[in-house]
Amino acid sequence: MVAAIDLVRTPGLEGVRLVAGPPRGVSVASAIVVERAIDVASAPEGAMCLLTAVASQLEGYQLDMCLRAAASARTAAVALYAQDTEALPRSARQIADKGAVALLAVPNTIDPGSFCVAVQRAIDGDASLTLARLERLNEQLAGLDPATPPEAIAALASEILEGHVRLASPSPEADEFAPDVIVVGGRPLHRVEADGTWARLASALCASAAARRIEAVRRSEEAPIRSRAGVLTEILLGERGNLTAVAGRARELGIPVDGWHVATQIVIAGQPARRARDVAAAHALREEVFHLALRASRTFGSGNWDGAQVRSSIVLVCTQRMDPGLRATAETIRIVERVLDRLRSRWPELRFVAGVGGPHEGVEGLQASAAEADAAASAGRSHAQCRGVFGFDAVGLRRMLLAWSSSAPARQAVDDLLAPLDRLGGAKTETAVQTLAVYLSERGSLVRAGARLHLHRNAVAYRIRRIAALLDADLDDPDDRFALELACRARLILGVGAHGSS
Amino acid sequence: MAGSAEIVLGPDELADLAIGCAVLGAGGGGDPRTGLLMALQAIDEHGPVRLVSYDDLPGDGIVMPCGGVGAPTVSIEKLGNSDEGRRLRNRVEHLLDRPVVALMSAEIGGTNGLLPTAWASTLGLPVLDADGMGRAFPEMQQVSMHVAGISPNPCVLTDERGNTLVVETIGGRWVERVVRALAVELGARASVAVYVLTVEQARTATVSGTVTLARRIGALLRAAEADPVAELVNELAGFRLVRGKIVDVERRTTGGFARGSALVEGLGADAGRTLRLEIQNENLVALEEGRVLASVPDIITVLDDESGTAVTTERLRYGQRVSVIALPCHPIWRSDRGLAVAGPRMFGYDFDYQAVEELHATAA
Repeated sequence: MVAAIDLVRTPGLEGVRLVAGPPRGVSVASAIVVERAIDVASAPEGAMCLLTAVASQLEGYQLDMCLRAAASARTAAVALYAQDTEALPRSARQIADKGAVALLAVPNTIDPGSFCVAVQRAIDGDASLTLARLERLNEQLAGLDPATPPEAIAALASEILEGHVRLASPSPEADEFAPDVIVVGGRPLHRVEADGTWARLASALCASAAARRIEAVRRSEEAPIRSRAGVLTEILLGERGNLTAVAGRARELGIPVDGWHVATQIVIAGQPARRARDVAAAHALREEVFHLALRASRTFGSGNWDGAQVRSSIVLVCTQRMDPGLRATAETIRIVERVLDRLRSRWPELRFVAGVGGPHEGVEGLQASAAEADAAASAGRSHAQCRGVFGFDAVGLRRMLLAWSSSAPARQAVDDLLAPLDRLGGAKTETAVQTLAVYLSERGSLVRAGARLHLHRNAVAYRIRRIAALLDADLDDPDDRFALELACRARLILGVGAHGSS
Repeated sequence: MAGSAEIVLGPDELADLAIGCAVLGAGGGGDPRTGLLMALQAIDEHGPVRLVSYDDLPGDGIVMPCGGVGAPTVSIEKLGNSDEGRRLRNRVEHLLDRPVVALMSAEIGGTNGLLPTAWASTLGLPVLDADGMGRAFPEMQQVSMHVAGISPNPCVLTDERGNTLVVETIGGRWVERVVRALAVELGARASVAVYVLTVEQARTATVSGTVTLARRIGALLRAAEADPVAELVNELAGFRLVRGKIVDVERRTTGGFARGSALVEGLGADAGRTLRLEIQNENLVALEEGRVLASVPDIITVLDDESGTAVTTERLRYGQRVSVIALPCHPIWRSDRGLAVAGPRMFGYDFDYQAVEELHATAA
């Protein structure tokens, strides 16, 4: 049996309204069609009597008498075709309420046969009803607005399935391929929980619908970001004096290139070698980090924030209309620290290093700030812990080194000098340059260099002997030492080697 | 010839008569006030009218049942010229070549209960203490004379202009159809004499004593102090169906008749009850929770709960405090032929008639 009020939510009975009668006190045991109102008197106990369209054309007193007869026969419900429920007489409603007979209004869109089938299905509560409900859920999900949040999807499922469908946090070991998990960008966001025998199917429907919508929203949000990021990258990598066209495009996209810029460069350090070698995975990771970092910066910071990916780093640019002053770098550092906290919470296994440049105006100022941020990040990478946010020191050696090393002849000289080390390739080159830079900055002290590099002094000695042999350099010669130290610092400031290794 | 003591209808008697005619009108028949004013003017000009019984008249004398036909609402403005009765009588006597010895209300309910008195005063004729219905009915063939098999011919129709028409039909509902259509052409209201019969025929073909009954009702209500409705119900062996407030009135025009319904929500001892009245010019059916409490041909009347004044169907309004009463009809209407003419099924209700006494015996 099923309560009359539950029938109005049954698939196939859309539009049926309970007009009068006790909603929960009436249980329907069967469904029949009657062609004359008086036939209600002979209906079986607990029946739902549907009057045909002709039989439904009743005078007010006739409906009263029909309902009285239904109450006497202990009929559960009387359903009649009625478009305007307000026109149903008050006396009839009162009889329905008093006589515990549910009075239902049926729209013309439901024929008697379909009505009885739907009611019987609800009474039996069998698999066909469950499937009908799931089908209805599927139809409703397909018609949802793309911006519908997961919570609303769970609520809709609860209503249609008359059960509890809710969101929960994914378990730490959640499988991204589990059907009841909302996975976006390979990352589990929520788990859909449901009660009942149809639970797994319902959860899968909801999870799939929610995931697709979240991804669609993100794609629509990211599309303009990608266009802006591309133009910003062009500016950052473009040659000075040849930025007019790209600056124009930037303005068209709404990038405020003419303002005051403070750039930040974020480097992903400490990736597992396996992941670093997997180019696709590394790219996907960088994409995720980029979008999360940009969102976080817009959340924590004021002003206009844009971002780009330059080589293997992420560059964030904060632009303001007026000169933010000397405190801009420090304020940006505080913001970027919060951004890195967000990144670390998402990827605890990774290390992030960020460098923040100084405020500069205009398109060329944007390049300058980015270069300072690059230098600051490089300095940060050479730092012992290789993590955190580092600001560009406006007064000091790094500015001079940046100015010298940014010239093509200086770069070439550095590359020529370090060519033997570059031929080692990849991480070996980076290790060699860093070891040499630290050894030379510690004035040849194996002990101090070992402490900074977390190596035994004998290991440092071994490396230095090999490096010296490769470079065919006399490390006791002060000129050689100065040249090599300058070259190593310049290499570290630039951040990338001659062969593009990070 | 034996006769009763002479009863004269003067102003006081007419006042009582008007009240009683409204009660017996079962919500229809029009407001008797119009007929009362005409009758008062007539007796003022021509003198009071004798009220007579069958025994007071020669057996072969002609009794002329008469009254108005058409929309009661029109009669409020289209009053006539008081000569209609004369024209009707003259034409009837011409057609039958016999004198009319008395006028009779074709319908005691409503304003038609007083019109014959007005004309009788003008003509110097008496009014027979009887009528053709014992209440009001909407159609012309719904008279006891028809049930008794009396021919409606000749039927004479006249208006205030002097048009006089003689109609002869095959009887039954044809007289209603034809005369109704003619009345419309005459301005929606006309005067008619129909089912003319002899005194001897009238003994068994009319509802006897209804003028006296109406007067008795009026006098009782005018004199009642505490609860006029209760006194009336006791006096007439009737039933108070409900005492309450009108909470809904619905009207619609279907097939040329004013149909509708009204809901009365019980008050006081009747709190929690709701009575539904089905209306077609007159109050025809009273139901409660789908159960019939009274139906046509029994008389169902709505009375103002304080004064006992009858409320016609067109005057029912939301918020009125009323009592709905049911009075047993004349036995002629409970016969098979009577029910075929004026029972519930004749009015389109799909249930059989049950006498109000039986219905309340069942309820008790």
